[in-house]
Formats: sequence, C-alpha cells, structure tokens
Amino acid sequence: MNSNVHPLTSDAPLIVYVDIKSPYAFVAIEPTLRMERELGLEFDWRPLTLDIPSYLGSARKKAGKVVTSNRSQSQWSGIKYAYRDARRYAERQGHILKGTEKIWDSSIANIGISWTMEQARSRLAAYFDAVYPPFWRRELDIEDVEVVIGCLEQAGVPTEGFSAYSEGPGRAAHDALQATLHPAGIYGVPTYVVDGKIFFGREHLPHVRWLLTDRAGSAPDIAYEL
Amino acid sequence: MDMRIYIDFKSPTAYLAMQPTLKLLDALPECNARWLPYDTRQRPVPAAKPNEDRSESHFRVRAEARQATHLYYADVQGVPMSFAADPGETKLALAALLHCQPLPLPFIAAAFQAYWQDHANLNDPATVGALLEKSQSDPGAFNADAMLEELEVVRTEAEELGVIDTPAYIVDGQLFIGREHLPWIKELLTA
Repeated sequence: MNSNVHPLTSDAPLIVYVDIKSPYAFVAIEPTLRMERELGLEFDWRPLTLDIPSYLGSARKKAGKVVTSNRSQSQWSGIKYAYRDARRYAERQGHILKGTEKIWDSSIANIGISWTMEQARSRLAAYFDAVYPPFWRRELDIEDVEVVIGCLEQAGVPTEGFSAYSEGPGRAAHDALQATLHPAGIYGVPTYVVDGKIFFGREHLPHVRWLLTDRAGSAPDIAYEL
Repeated sequence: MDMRIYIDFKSPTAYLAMQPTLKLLDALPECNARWLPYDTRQRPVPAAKPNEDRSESHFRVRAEARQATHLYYADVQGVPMSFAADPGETKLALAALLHCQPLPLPFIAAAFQAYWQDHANLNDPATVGALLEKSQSDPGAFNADAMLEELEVVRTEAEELGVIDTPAYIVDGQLFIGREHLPWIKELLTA
C-alpha cells in the first residue's frame, strides 16, 4: 500500500476496513470473505487501527479483574454488551472470543494485512485465519513483530522484508491512511465502502451484496446474516 | 413465546425497527410481544470545531455517519424521517405508552409519526393527549404522574436486564439491541 491511497476510492468494487483487535471485525471476517468468494470478486482490504481510548476510555485487566480504568458506567455497559454480542455470534461461527486484558496496539498485525495484499493476495483469508482466532483466544501477542511474522508464515505469505516494511514504508502508509479516515467519514470497523458510500458494521452486508449485484430485487434492510 | 420490545420514540433505530419488527410479528401470530418504554439519551450531531482533538473528531464523525445511515435506510424502507435540531425529551409519551397497554400499537404508530415527521414535542401534555385521542385511548384516564413513576420502575427493570439502548428485544432470556438481530430473534421465536 502506498502513502497516497484515497480512503474512499479503489480499483476494487468494495473497500473493507478491519482491525485485528476489534471483536466486531472478527465476526465480520467470515461473512465478508464468504461474500467475496460467492461473488467471485476481489475486495480491497485495508487496515483501520482503532484509537479506542479516544472514544471508549481506557482500562487494563489482570487475572480477569479491572486494575485501571477511566471509563464511565455507561461506557462499561456498552462494552460489556458489545463483547457479549460479538461472542455469541463468534460462537455460532465456531470460534472462541475472550475479552482482552488490555487495549492492544494492533498496528503491526494490521500492517500485515497490507503486506499480504501486496505480496500474496490469495493468502489473505489464510492470514486472517492465522491471526484473528488465536488472538481472540488470547494466544497471540500481536505487538510482537516476530509473532506477526509467524502468522504470515503460517498463512503461506512471504515474510522476508516484513520487519523492515512494518517499521518503514508499511508503517508510513498505514499512518498516512489512518490520518485520512475521519475526514472521509470513516470511524470504525468493519467499514465497507462501495461507490463512495460508507457502511459501518457487518449488518450492512445484505445491502452491500445487493449493491454489488446490480441491485437485483428489492433493497435489503440491515441484518446480521446467520 | 413471549418477547419484550423496548422502544423510545426519539430513537432513530427504534423508529426504523418498527416496520421489520411488525412484519416479523405478523408472520408469528403466536408470539406474545410486549412493547415497553425505555428513555434513551439522544444527542444532536456536534458541529465541527477548529482544532478538534481525536475524541471530538471521532464523536462528530460517528454521529454524522449514523444520521446519514439512518436516513439512507429510511429511504430504503420508504419511511419518512427528519431529524430535529434538538432531539428533545419523550418521557411523557413513554409514560403514555404504559397507559396504552395492552394494545399500544396505535399509540406507538401515532407517536413515532408525530416525532419523525412533524418534530412534535412528545414531552408536551397537549401533544401527548392529542396522540392518545388519535389512537383511541382516553386521554382523561391517563394518570401522568403515576405512569411517569412506573416509567422509572420499567427503566430500572430494563437496566437490570442489560438494556442500554433501543430497540431492545428480550426473547428466550437473551437480550438483542438493534433490528439487525431479527434473523436470530426469528430463529428463537420459531424454534
């Protein structure tokens, strides 16, 4: 990914923004990949590294207990519901989703998405499979570049040069992209962009599919696909 | 099977949930749905400021995007929808919803229409009285003070169940917030 990527335009029919540390992005991966496969298209997957403390406060847990937090009661209620909700859908997909013990810096793992898009596009689903489920089982330290390299290897993605990429051009492109997102109207994950129209959340997948298939039939409302 | 549905008239997500929820209930006549009030907090979209920090920028962009998305799906559904500059309060109409039990749907339809099409003040006694009358409920029998007290009781119960926003559906012991869950809710109701 170069540093001049426009947040709302792509050669691909759909842009998909995801973050490894988002439980909602996690449960969106499978249905989005399924749609990509079924439609025979290649989407433009991009990283959006959430700055969670800027809108949800911050907290750190140890042994399941909150040890530091500046979150309000309503923020906690919302977060608890969000995790419960994502967890039940993850379980329907056969995954385990454990609440994180801290707010992770997912940028290296997210730069791995861009690297895979550039180096081995066909292995992207394998990379997601190597990162998302184990991270959400609390088995991966995604802040460790060697751990991310291990995931790339497991997915069959070439890794030579990734470490330098993640600190150099990959990091620069990632950071440049992040700076363009709010001004473009993008703030969370998963976000889908089709023909410049922004949809936040996997509940839009039925509608996005409709847009990508020549608007055949009546326009669907939002719904989580089961 | 029983289902509780918590709504607020000033909640755009609750408004847009009406049509698909009623469609689901029409298909499941054996489902016993109980419509209950939950007073949500709605904020106007913040204006852009020079030198916004990351947090301010996030909340503004999110609010703008959500409003645009609601309007987009209102169009998809063919439902008239117009955001008031100030969301206002809806407590009195929510109390009136309790008064309208066990047949609240005419009042719900009238209140949603008044709010989202006419920007009616649903905390105004005359407005709420007119809506009760329009929906064949006796406004004279509406004991606002008692129902406002009951509204707080219902709110406490809802929060004990984990309700934080509307529309909230409680079915088979599970809480679902948002109409996007209707496929799973349908699955539970037809199991």
